Amino acid sequence: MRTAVSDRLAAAPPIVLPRADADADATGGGQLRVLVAAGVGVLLGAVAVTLKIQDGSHPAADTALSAVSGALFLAAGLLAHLRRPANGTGLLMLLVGAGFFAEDLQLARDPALFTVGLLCTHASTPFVVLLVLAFPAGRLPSRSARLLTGITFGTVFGAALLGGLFVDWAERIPGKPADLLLVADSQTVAVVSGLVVEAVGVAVAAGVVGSLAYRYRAGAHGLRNPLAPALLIAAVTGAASGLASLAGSDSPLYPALLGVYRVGFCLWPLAFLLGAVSWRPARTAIADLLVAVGNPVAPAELRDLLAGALRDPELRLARWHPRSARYLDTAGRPVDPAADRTTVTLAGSTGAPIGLLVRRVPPWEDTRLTDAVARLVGLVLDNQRLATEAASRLAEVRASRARLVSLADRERRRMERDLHDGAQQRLVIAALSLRLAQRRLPPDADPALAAQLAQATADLTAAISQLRELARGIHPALLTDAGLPAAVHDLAERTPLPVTLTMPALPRLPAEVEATAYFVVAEALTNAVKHAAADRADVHIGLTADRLRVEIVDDGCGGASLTPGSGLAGLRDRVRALDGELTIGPGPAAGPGGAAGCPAGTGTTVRAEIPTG
Amino acid sequence: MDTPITVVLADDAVLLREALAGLLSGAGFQVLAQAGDVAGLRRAIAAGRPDVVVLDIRMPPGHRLEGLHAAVEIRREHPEIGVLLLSQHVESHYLPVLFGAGARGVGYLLKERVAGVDAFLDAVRQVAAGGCVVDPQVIGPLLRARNGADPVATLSDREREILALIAQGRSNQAICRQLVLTGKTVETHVRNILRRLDLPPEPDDHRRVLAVLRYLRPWSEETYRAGLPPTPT
Repeated sequence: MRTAVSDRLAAAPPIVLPRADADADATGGGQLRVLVAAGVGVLLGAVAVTLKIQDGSHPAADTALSAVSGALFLAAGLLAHLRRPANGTGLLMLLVGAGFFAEDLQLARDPALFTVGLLCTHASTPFVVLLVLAFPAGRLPSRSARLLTGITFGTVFGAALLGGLFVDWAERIPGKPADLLLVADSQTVAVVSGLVVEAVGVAVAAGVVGSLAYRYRAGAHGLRNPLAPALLIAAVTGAASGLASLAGSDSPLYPALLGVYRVGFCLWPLAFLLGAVSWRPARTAIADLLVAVGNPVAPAELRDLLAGALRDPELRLARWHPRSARYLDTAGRPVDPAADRTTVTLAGSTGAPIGLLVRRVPPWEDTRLTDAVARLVGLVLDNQRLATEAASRLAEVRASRARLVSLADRERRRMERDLHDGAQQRLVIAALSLRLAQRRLPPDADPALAAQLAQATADLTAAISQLRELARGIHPALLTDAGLPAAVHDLAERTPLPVTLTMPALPRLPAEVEATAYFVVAEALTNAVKHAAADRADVHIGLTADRLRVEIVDDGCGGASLTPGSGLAGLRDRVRALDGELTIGPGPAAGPGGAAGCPAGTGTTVRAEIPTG
Repeated sequence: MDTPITVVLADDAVLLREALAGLLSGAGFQVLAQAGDVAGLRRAIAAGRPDVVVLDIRMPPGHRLEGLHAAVEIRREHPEIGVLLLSQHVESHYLPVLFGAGARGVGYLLKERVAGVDAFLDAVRQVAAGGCVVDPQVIGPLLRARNGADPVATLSDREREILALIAQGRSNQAICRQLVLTGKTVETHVRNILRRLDLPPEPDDHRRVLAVLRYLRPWSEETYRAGLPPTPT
């Protein structure tokens, strides 16, 4: 027999599952990197502030602003990392802070530190670019972003290296220590390098602002709000930086633009932190989903939950329908992969595709989010499918069990009727003929023949009587013809025990319900007489809105059991087939009224509840 | 016997019906008609007004209780016609329905009693003459162990035997013959029984049956009427 599962396995189109997590080591190896970066950053910060104060040429406000800016990047980086260890944003912010402090090493009087400081000229800038472009996923989202970042790194550090090799600061600025890398002093290199840096600075600033604007505009609706502060500040700061480079340090606007840049730079870590923390990370979304699907959810509800968690109102969720061999969404429409959206195949516990998730994945989103959501939703759908399958199979089994009972009853009624209409009539005729033949024996007939005929008549009469009881045992005609109360009265009359009956006037109930109740009473009374040696029995029958209750209490020695193969066990199966239950327990305390030779407190209660629907 | 007792037979089992007809004819009864269903029975009665109708409780079309309903109908519309109902099972349940107000000219026997020949022919005669016959199969269980406070339990074996015969519709004389007792002894037993059971000493045989059955079958008539299919009108 082919199961639904094998059907699905055969029919569902193979779709590549979400790719495995590309930066799974972000939490493990990343931990050390972050700690080292934080340690280096703090050390550089301490050195930089000390140098600035020793230098004495910087206004106190300026010193304080730099210290606060760098420290904020370090603190925000650490906090972002702690909040979301898997996200690279924290590390990038630490690097910005460290680079920012490293620039101040130029103020050192020690030649070695000074030389390092020269190499770190504008060191924070490429990290800022990297941070801004990689925000909020902590990873560069596109080739153009990587190119822009690479150019910035190359230009800044290349220019710094050229400066170290070809600009003799000690000569130009009195009091500066010796540049250990100096090869020759070249005014040309200094001028060209400065021009290149300025040009590239303008270009990169424009690129960054453009990229931010594009992402802000193209980003999913949900990503706009949390990113807004960081992107706005980044854009304003980037624009100020670019304009400042464009205007040149001689322009009257330069100090104002520089001020904007520096204040913005100081605010960045705060804004980044705000964005990184308020942008709901994958774990939070997954956790919320997990909590939500703890309760049963309808498919449409699940879609809404997903749309909320992933902040994508147009998200679509489709299930594989084996019958139509298509993926249909919650509204029953077929779902096809869309060009501008990402389609993720959802897998169930067997690994077989069971659904599709079609959503807009922002380019900077962590792939683990999609991955985890796909697995979670896959499991939920699988669970729902299994539950539905189990429920329908259970219903099917229940219905077929009830049908079997009803079929068996019909069969028993038919057998009873056949016995009555066929064998019994023939036997009666045969007995009549025999008796008539007996009467026609001449008085002088062989006495042995007469005795034989008499014996045959007696045997036949006994056989008819046994056949009648057999037919009654198969299915009592009285039950069919007159209903349960009549049949139970009849049972009580035939039971060689005083039986008290308590039952209301019952309406006719479904045949299988009446027959089941009847056989329960019959079996319990038989047990009371045969095995429990009871002196009396009470039968209570009651009808509630939806069930028939039957209770038979005797004062015998107990011992009724539901061991497999016993009559009561068979009846319990029958009762359960109709969704009812049969139990046996002790009778009321037997006391002095109990059957002779029984320990007190025995007796038997057989109880059955049978749904009448 | 100058005029033979006239009989109408109704049973859908043709072989048995024929056998019965042969038995009755051979015994001096006049079988006016045979019917295979209730409609045929009605026609036969309208045509010939028999002294007694012998019919099966199950008949076409439903093979349920058509015979019982027909019996009740005949007793209501033709009280002078005796009705002997045969059945594979005899159930005390149907007695109140069959007897209705009285136990006059009515009988209810297991079908296999036919093979008893003499007892059966006797039963047909009794019912035709307005007597009452109830199968011992019905009476037996009623007389069996009931609860301890039951007066039936205090009767002697002989008294219980006589009670069973009363319930079967036997007159005192018949009981005398069957048990080989004197009339006086039987009368004393019967008085004792009726007194212990607190039943009125009814003179009429069929009223006596009714009283005994009512006593032995104490539950209310509504209970079993509720279970019966509606009587066809």
